[in-house]
Amino acid sequence: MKTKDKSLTCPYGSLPETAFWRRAVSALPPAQVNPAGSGPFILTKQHRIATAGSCFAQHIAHYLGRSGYLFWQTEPTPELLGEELGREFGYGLFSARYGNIYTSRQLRQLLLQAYGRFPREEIWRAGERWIDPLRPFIQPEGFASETELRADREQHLAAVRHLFETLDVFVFTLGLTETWLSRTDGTAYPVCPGCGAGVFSEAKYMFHNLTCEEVVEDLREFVRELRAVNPQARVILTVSPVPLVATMAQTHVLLATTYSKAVLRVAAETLARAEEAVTYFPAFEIITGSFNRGAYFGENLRDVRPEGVEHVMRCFFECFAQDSSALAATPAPAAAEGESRARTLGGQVVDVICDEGQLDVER
Amino acid sequence: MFGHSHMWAIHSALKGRSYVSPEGDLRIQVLLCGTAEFPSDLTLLTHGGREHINPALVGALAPYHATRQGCWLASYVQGSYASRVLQLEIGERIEFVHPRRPDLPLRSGARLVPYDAIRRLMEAEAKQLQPFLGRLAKLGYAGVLHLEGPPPISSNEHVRSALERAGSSPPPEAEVAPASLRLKLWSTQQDVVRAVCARTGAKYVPPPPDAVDEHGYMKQELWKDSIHGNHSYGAQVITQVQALVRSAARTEKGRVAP
Repeated sequence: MKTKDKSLTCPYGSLPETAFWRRAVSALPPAQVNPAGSGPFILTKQHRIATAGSCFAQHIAHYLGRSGYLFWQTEPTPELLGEELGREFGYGLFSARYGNIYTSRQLRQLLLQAYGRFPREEIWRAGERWIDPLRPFIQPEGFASETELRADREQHLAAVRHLFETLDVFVFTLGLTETWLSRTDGTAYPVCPGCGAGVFSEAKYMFHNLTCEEVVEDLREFVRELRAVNPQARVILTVSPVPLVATMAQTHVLLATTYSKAVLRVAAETLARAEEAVTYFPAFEIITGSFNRGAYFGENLRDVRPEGVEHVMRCFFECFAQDSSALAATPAPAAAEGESRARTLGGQVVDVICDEGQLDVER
Repeated sequence: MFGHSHMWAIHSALKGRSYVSPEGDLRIQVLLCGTAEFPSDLTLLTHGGREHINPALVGALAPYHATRQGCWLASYVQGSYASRVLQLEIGERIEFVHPRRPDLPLRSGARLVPYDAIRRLMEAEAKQLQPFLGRLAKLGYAGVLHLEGPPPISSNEHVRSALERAGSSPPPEAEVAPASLRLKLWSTQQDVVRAVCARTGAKYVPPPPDAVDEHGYMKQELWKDSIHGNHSYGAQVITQVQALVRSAARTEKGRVAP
């Protein structure tokens, strides 16, 4: 016997609109889909908001900086250089000059390195130039001397410590699970040695595809260490929607992408459920969701179009910001993700910097 | 010999604009490229984007054109890029490591800035030099020398008082950049100018060795104002140029190797 009013007995009947695909997704204009809801805390314009991660994190920094929110930088562009030249030298992209941090392992390693518990002194030499293996592309042509590299590394790590100790909210965008590790001590490199910087050696380096358990453990350790130096710190995790530029996993790059994003998504969810200080923000779903029919990706199916970034940031501000009209005050989006260097797209400047582009080897 | 403000040291040393060596083998003609006589830039960009040497300088060189194969051009233009990048500090204090001078100190508390970025700033200041020297090299003279500006002055007190005497008193909050930082900046200027000379075929002429003290600064007895050398400095440059030209004249076809 059927009950006339399903809401009286079916538990789905009492769920909010957002629980139903038709009402929350398919029946809405794409621009109105907002899977983020309201955040567990409110960001005010006094909060120090720090960013790190893959290229997508640069969008958050870009929008925060232009919307009156406090994009917290402890290693900002030196006044003498100016913004444009500073960007070429890795300033202003993230909260400190660490370049792209693609993996959870790198993030954990950075924090340990900053506090002297990861005493990695490795330096690569390329002719008369010197490369920091953990920031291989932070300068267009590496460092001019070993003395300069060591002094800069010391200054950078001091800035990282200051960042972790003073931020209010840390927004981290998880990019990849595939990484390259030192066979000697497990150091995680941002990009495979030999691809744009360094020299590859089978004897020195090994490929590793992080498992979900490893990502969770890395993030859990990071959050624990972060809260140890900054008990009030909150973390917002996002997953980059940009597919892998290349895979070493001996599988199709599409399958490798699915694996990587699935792992990162599950790991982020796991942390968010387990740690009160951690929240997940669904940038990945906004860009990759079928509701937009692929409209947020560029022609190469990797670049994120400016309108996609704008949608993400609109939801971000609605989710977390005290003043959700902040986005309206920002200029038209001038960024999309996926390419390795500045170029133009549809007449707009595309200016995120992605070290991962080094893996896209021409043949 | 021609150039901007650094040419005054040459002019003072020669006590005029023309000089014939006692041996009679060299004649030096001085052209002061002040803004009144040589308005606008050293190189002029046409609407088509091609660079041309300042017509006033072309005109001033015209009398030597017929005998140019026995005539040298000694460029002493600009030469103060380092001071333009940073001579006075207002706001953030910076430091950098110069790859050839790792011995120079880094101030505690100052921001470390990449050498390459400093060099890029210097290159932007010197952006006219390459097209200028490149055009000069194509004029068909026996050779082109480009003289480096003098090294910095080690005394901040002297620099500040010289600026005040010149009527350009620094604002109260400004401090003269530390001598070691100014020396690093000038060393970067050398790197940039030397590279431009190598690309254009001009002979890079560093400051006279006897004008430089053991640390790399201009010797005190040669100071004029905040950045320029005096007539004694100019005399050393003249001696240096004469030696270079005579040496070149003794080598094959009088060409100086870049």
